[in-house]
Amino acid sequence: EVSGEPLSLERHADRVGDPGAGAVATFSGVTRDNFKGRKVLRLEYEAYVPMALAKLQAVCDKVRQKWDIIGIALSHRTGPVGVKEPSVVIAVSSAHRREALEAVHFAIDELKATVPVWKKEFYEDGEVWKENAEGEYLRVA
Amino acid sequence: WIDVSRVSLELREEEAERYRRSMKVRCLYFAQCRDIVGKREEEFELPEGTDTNQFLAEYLLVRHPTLEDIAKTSLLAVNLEYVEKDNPVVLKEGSEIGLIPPVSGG
Repeated sequence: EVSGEPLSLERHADRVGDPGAGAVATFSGVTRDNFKGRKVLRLEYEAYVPMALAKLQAVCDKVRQKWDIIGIALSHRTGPVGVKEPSVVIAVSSAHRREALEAVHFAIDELKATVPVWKKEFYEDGEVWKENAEGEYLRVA
Repeated sequence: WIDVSRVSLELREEEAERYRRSMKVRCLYFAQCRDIVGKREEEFELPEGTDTNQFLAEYLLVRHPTLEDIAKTSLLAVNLEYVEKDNPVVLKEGSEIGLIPPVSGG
């Protein structure tokens, strides 16, 4: 999902829950109050929504190709996201813990490299559009 | 003597032919690109057969030269799929193009 609604980690964990799952691994990316010594007031996210949805689905597909998991749910929030609030949540369930843990790790890395979402960092004295280092692999590939 | 009226009629027909073989595409702007261009989307009329590399160099950057710097580190997407610079995609009527600056989700 990609929307302006606040994200709930719990809801994503519930979505992937399954009687056969011994493990539910989750990640949430939250707004930090600082970047390189500057105080961050908030982040604002913009998305190319239809393509972001397609690329989030592609992340899920790639995860399923690589690991035997039961469920995967991931969402990105758009609009302003204050300090300590999550902008992205990922939940993966699997029978045993290794798959879920590795899949979550991969999913956030892949998301940060490929999903067309942008964040603007707001400081007391300015604002800047950020660029993920992970995105390099897209441009070079 | 030259039949000027016939020559100009043929020229007009040729030009009309070229316009009939043009197509409309939509380009979407995000983040820094939207700040630079001042809007989220824009229509371009292109000759049939234009590909993404030609679109970028001959139309997009000509209309918006201030996009040149960000375009160097940006990717194009056509109909929700990334386009590789050395594998350009031929555009069609109704193609949706996204100018994708370096992403920063998560």
